[in-house]
Amino acid sequence: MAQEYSIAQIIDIGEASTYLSIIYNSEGSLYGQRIGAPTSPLTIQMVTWALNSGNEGGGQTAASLRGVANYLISLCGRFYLQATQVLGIPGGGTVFPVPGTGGGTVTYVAIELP
Amino acid sequence: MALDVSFSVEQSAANPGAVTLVDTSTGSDVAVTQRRIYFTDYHGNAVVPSGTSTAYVIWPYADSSITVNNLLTSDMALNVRVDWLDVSNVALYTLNTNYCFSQFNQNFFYTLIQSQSLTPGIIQDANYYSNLSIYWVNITGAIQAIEIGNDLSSSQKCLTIATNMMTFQNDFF
Repeated sequence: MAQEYSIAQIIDIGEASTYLSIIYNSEGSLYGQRIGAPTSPLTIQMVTWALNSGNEGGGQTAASLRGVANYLISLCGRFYLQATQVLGIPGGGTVFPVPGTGGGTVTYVAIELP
Repeated sequence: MALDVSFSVEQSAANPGAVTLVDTSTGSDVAVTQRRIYFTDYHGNAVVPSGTSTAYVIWPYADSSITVNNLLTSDMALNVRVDWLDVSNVALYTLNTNYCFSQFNQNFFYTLIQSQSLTPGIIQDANYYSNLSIYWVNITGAIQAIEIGNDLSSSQKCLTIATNMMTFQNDFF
């Protein structure tokens, strides 16, 4: 089962996503702005900061922090997985390949063509 | 062994009006019998809890920490000075540092983001996003003014702008 990231880990992901989105937004500017609405690094940074503030202050409930953390994850969007890779945070659980047990039998049948 | 004085200061997130000081001094000095805390704003005015008749707060020497309740009603950038005194009220050691107490605004900013997470479309509203950005910049600016610049006046100016936005939140958010 996939693990749930801690609030501190999501704050780190937010910080990394901020600069990743800045770099992404700056790419492709030679021929004008990207057509798609760019992800706002400012929004990610502000939400990351708020989450960090609430987490360090100790005045917020765990449920409240988790709600804001989920919002931050949604903002990180396409940079979320890249950020986990950059930070070396294991994610998505582990897939164990199941070895074959017996193997099937392939039967060839010769068909006489008319 | 001489006393090597130091202390830490923290504003409570749950109760932003309260400030907790912890004496982290090392060594000892038998001559020290009492401590006093002076909170001073950027004008040089003493800031004390309501009902205090002196310009300082007494910090019993037997207590390693003290929580000064009802010190703040809004965020302030303050100089915090602690004096270690002998029995004749002579300061044997003194240490002062500037602090940015921004927890009132940090809490409100968190509340704004929490509300935003429930209604993400609000960032499309006219002026909301730009006001949110201005608000955030002033809070972080106030903190940086102390941490990087050790500038009490600039920090207080940023906090005043942020506090004004919080006070008139219906106009800004």
